[in-house]
Amino acid sequence: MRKPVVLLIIAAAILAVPFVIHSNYLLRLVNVALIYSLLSVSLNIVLGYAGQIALGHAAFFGIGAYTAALISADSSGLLFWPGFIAAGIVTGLSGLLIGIPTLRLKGHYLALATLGFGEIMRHIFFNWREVTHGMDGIGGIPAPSVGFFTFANDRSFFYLALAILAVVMLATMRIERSKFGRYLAAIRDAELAAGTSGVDVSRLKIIAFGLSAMVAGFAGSLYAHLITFISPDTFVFDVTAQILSMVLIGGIGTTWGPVLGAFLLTFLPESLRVSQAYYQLIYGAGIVMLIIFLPMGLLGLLQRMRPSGGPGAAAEPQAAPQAAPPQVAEQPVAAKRPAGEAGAAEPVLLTQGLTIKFGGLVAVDSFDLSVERGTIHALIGPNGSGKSTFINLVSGIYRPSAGSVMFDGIAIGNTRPWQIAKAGLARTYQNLRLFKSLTVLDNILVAARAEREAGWTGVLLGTPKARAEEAELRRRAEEGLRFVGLSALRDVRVSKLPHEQQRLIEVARAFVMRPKLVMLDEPAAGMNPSEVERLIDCILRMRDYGITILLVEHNMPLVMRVADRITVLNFGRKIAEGDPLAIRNDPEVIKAYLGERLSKRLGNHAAA
Amino acid sequence: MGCICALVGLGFILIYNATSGLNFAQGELVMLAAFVFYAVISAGLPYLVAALVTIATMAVAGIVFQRLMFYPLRDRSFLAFIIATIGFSIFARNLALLIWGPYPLKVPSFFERDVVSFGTVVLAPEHLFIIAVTIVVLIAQYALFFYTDLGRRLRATAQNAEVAQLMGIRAGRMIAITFMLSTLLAGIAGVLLAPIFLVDTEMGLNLILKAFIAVIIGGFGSVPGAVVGGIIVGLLEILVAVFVSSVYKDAIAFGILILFLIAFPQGIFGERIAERA
Repeated sequence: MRKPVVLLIIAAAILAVPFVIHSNYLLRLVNVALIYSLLSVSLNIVLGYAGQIALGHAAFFGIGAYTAALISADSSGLLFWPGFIAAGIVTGLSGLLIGIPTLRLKGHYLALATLGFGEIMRHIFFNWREVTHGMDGIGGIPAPSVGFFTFANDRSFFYLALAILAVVMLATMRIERSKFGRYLAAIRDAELAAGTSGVDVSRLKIIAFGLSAMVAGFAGSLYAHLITFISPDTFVFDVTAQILSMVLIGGIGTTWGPVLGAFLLTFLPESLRVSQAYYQLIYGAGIVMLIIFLPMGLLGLLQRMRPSGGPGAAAEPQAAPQAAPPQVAEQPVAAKRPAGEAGAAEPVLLTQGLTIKFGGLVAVDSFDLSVERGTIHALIGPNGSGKSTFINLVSGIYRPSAGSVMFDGIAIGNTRPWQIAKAGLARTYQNLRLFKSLTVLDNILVAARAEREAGWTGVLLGTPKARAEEAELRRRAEEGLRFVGLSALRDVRVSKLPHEQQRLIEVARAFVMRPKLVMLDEPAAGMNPSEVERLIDCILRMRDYGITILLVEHNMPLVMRVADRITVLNFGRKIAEGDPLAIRNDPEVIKAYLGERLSKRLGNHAAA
Repeated sequence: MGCICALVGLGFILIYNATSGLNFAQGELVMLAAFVFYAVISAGLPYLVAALVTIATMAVAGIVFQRLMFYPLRDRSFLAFIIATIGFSIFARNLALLIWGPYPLKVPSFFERDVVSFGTVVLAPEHLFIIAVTIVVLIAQYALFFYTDLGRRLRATAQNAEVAQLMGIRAGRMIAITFMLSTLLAGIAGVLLAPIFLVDTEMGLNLILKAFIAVIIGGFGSVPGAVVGGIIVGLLEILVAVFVSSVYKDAIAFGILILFLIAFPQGIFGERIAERA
C-alpha cells in the first residue's frame, strides 16, 4: 500500500521539524501556529460542520488561558495538567451558557450573542483586577511538566502541542465521519429536514458549540504556558477575526483546511514584514476577496479540481438511472402486512379542531382528520387551501393556535419535530429539502436509526457498539436505496441529480425511518407520466410494508388510483371526505376547484 | 447616545429587512463618516456644508459597498455576507488607522454655548440637536417609506424581491437604494457623533455592538423596535454608570443582551424567531 508509506513519511517529516529549524524565533512561530490550528479547528466545528456563525472564540481562548494561568502561576509545571483540564471544562461550560439560549433561535442570534459575550469577557479581563490583574496581566506561568521532564523550551513544547493537536484532530475526524458528523452536515444544509428526519437539532448544535468552546479553552491553556505571560489585550475581537480567516483560507468544513490556514496566516505576515496596520488592512480585504472568489478555501478548491465526489464516485448520474426499480430482495424488518387487516385499530393520526392563525389569516381552521392505519389517505384542495400548513403542523414545524393532534395514541401538539419523527412520523417536502452537500447514501443515512444507538463516547473511542451501529445504519440505508431503485447512485452528491431522483431520495429518506405514517407533500410535482408510474409503485409498496400514507397531491389521476380515502380542504376547512368515487361527484368539491358558475353549468349539462 | 444607537440600529435593520443580510460593518461606516467629517472640516469648509458633503459621500459609499460586498454574494448563504462585512470592518478600521493615525481626533462643536439650562436641568446643546435630528430623520424616513411611490417599491422589494421584480420593480436598484439609505443614516450618525465624542478607529465595534443590543431589545427586524431599543440602551448606560459601576457599564449592557436572548428573544416588537417552513 502506498498511502500508509506516504503518511509515515509525512509524520516523520513533522516530527523532525524542531531539528531542522534552529532559530528559536521560528520554532516559537511554529508553536504559535499549532495553537492557532487548535483554535481554527475548534471554530470549524461550529462554523464548518454545523454551519452556525460564532464570533466569540477569542473569549473562550482567553477564558482557557486565564483559567490555566490562575491555577498554575508561580507554581509547579505539574499544575499544567489540572489547569489544562479545568480550562477545557470552564470554557465548555461557558459555551453551553451562551449556546443553550441562543442556538434554539435563528442562526444570527448566536452570532450576536457570541459577539456580545466576547465583549463582556474583554471587559472582565480588563477590569476584574482582583483576579485577572487587569492590564498588568498574569505572569510567572510555569512550563508544563510531567514531573521528571519539563517542556521548558520551544523544541520540547512543540511535541506537547503537536500531540494535543493530534488528539483533537483524531477526535474531530472521528466525529466528522460518524453519524454525528452527518447530522451536523444535515443541520447545516437543511435544518428543518434534519429535524423532521429525527435529528435532535437543538441538542446537537449545543453539543457542537460546547465542544468547540472546549477546544478553544485547551488552546488558551497551551498559549498561557507557552508565552508564560497573559494580558487582556491578547484576547480581543481581532483574534476572532484572525481565526475566522484561517478557517476561510484553509477551507471551511474541511478536515485539514483550518490547520493549513493557521500555518499560512501565521507565517505569511512574517515573510511579508509589513507594519501591523498594513497587515490588518490586507487581512480585511483578504477576507472579503476570499469569501467572494474562493468560498471553499484552498482545500475546497483542491477538492473541486479532483473528479467528482472523491473515491468511490464512479457512477455518473447519467449512466445510473434504471428504467424500473428492482424488486426488493431483502425484506426489511418491519412486518409486511396486508392492507385490509389493520382496519380495526384506532386511527394512526387524529386531529381535532386543529387551527393555526398567521396574523389575521386562519390557514387551517378547526380541522378534524382521522387517518386509519394501513391506508393511503389523500388530502387534496386548491392551492393555498392549507394542505402543506397542515403537514407542517403535524410534523412539529408550526405550533397549532388551537386544537389537538394525536399520533399513534400520543398527543403531539407541542412537541419538537425530531421527537415526532422518532415517534414514527416521516415526511417529504414539496420544495425539496435534501442535504445538498452530502451523497445520496449519506442523505438517507441521516434518517436511518439503529436498534441500539451509540453515544458520543462510543463514537469518539470507536467502540464495537458504535461500529456495529454504523454497519446496521448502512445496511438500512442501502435497503432504502434499493426500495426506490437508486442503489447505483449511492456515492453521487444529491445536488447533481435530476429532479425526479431527488424526489425519490426524499421518499427513501422517509422510508428508512421505518415510520408508522409517511406524509408525502406533492411527491409527483414536476414529474412526467412515466416517472409518476414509478412513484405510484413506490407508494403502493410502502403501504404493503404496513406504512400508512398521507398523500398531499394535485395530480388527480394519481390520487384517484392510489387513495383509499380522500379529504378535501378549502380555505383551511374540510369541505368533503369520502372514497375517491364519492369525492369525484361531490358538488362542493367541484365548486371549490372550478368555481360556482362553471360547476352550475356543468350540472345543467349533466341534467340535459 | 441612545439616539445614535437608534440610528445605527435602524441602518442595520433596513438592510436586514431588505436582504436578510446582517451588516456587521454598520459601526465602521459610522466611524468612516466621522473621519470624513473631520477631514472635510479640517479642509476648512463651513460646518453645514461639511456635514452635507459627509452625508453625500456616505450615500455614494453605500452604493459602492452594495455593489462590491452584497451583489456578488446575493445568492449565497447569510454566513457569506456576514463574514464579508466583518472583513470590511477590519479593512475600514485599519484604513482609518493608516490615514488618520491612532490618536483620537476632536471635531469642534457647532454651538457657541456650552450648556443650555432648563431650570435645574443642564444639557449640552449638541444633545438636544442630536435628539432633534433623530426625530426629523425618523419622520422623513417614515414619510419616504409609507407616503411615496419609491417607498412602496422599497417595501415591496423588502417583502419579496422576486415578486417585486415580476411587478416591474427594479429590485436590484431598490436594494441599492436601501443600502444607500442605510449608509446615509450611518453618515448622519457619524456627523452627530463626531463633535461630542472623540473620533477614533475603535468606535465602530462599540457602536455596532450597542446597536445589536438595541435591535434585540426592540425586536429583530422591527423599525420602531430599533428606535425604542436604541433609546433604552442609551438610558440604561447612563443609569448603570451612575448607580452601579461605570467600569462595568458595557459588560452589564451585554449581560442584558444575553438575558433578553434567554427570556424574551422576540424583543418588544418581536419577529418570528424560528425558521420558516
